[in-house]
Amino acid sequence: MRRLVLMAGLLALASNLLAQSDSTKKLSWLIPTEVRVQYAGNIGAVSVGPAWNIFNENFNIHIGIGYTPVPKMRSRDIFSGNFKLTYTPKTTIRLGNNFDLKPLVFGFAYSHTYGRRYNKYNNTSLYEKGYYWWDPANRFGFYYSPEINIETNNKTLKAVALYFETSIWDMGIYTLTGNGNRDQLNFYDVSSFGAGVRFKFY
Amino acid sequence: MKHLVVIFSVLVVVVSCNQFDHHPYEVSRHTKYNNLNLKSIGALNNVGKNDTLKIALIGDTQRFFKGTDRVVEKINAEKNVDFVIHTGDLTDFGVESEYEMMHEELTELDYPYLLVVGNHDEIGNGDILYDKFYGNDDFSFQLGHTKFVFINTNSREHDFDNSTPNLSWLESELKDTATYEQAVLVMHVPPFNGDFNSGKEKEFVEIINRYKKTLLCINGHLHQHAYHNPYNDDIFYLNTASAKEQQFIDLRIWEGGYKFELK
Repeated sequence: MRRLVLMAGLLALASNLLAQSDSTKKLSWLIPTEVRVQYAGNIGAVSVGPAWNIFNENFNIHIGIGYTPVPKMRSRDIFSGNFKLTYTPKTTIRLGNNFDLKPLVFGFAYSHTYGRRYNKYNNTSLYEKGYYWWDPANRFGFYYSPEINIETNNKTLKAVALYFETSIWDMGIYTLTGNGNRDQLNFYDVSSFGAGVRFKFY
Repeated sequence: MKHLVVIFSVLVVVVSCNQFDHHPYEVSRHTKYNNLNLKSIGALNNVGKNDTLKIALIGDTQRFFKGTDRVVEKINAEKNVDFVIHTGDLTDFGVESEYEMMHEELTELDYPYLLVVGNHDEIGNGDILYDKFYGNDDFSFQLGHTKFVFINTNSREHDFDNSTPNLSWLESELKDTATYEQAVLVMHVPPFNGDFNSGKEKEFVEIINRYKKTLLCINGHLHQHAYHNPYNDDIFYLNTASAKEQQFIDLRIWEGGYKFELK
């Protein structure tokens, strides 16, 4: 959690510096090109964070903080740090004057869950290395998230995109592909859905 | 606009499918299933004092869906099983979706089943999920001539903090010998394993010997069938195989004795 706060602080500082001086224009790439808010999708009940286009508009990286309430006093609410790498090909289906559908959006996601409950398994005084063959705190996944892109006439907020995400994470992949389970399970059993909004500034 | 309406309608249908997983370690406010052990105990048929109990023992089903399916088929082919005991590690990752899926696999059983909590079932928020799905970690019930005592022995998952196993609870269950004829203990981690709190091992063994009514200990965790008395006393430990082996133990218990067969 402290790392996330530090990261947010550095971003704020960087934005402030960029606003103050022309000589720091070289650092303008630090300014996020969008802000993303997501519901569910295995990265938190709600996940919020900035994103940046890299290389061009086809590639995008996003970092976010996920929050998930836990309805029991024995555990604290869950905070996770998330990273997403999204690939959006130029394929677009025009739906109206100012909105279109991007049917092919794919990506890779990583999520780290903070808190002792999820990280104590790396404490070698309690668990010898490899006691659990996976790392309970770190998850990797792949997603498909087609979006409807709505263009605005606003100079700052160029577009708003609504997306629906289907993802499969490492635990699901292990469960589906291991131990001959494919006779009993299917993709739907181990996949997750999420939905979100991208506020695009570029 | 029509497109948006269609997409919104699809989303509503999808949402109703309840597949919006918030987080791997989420605990739903209202889990799909609850108090499963209590419900299974309520579903047990009455057994007379002279009857022989027929119990199927399974364990460590963790992510072995195919193996579990085969074991369920084998048990259903048996007649007159009183109930099934699962010796823990229902799940591999201890997450809610896995609790649901493996329970749904076990609902294919023609007989009620009871689960003792395993170490994998307590990973992350798994301990909370076990309580929500199955009830208390430590519980007991009597069926005919036998008292069954299920106890959480996953000391490592509780940081060896001396809370697990709860020996004062165990003693309170065994000491009133006038209320039961014989006791069978069910646990996941056996006391001779490194995941059991070694500081509690001696006392645990003393307690189950002290009242002279413990007939048998049943455990999982080791993933292979075994039958032995590691402390050279009268109490034997019957280890269940994992679901990977596609085996179950057919256990018969009567007043004063038992026998078993690996199937």
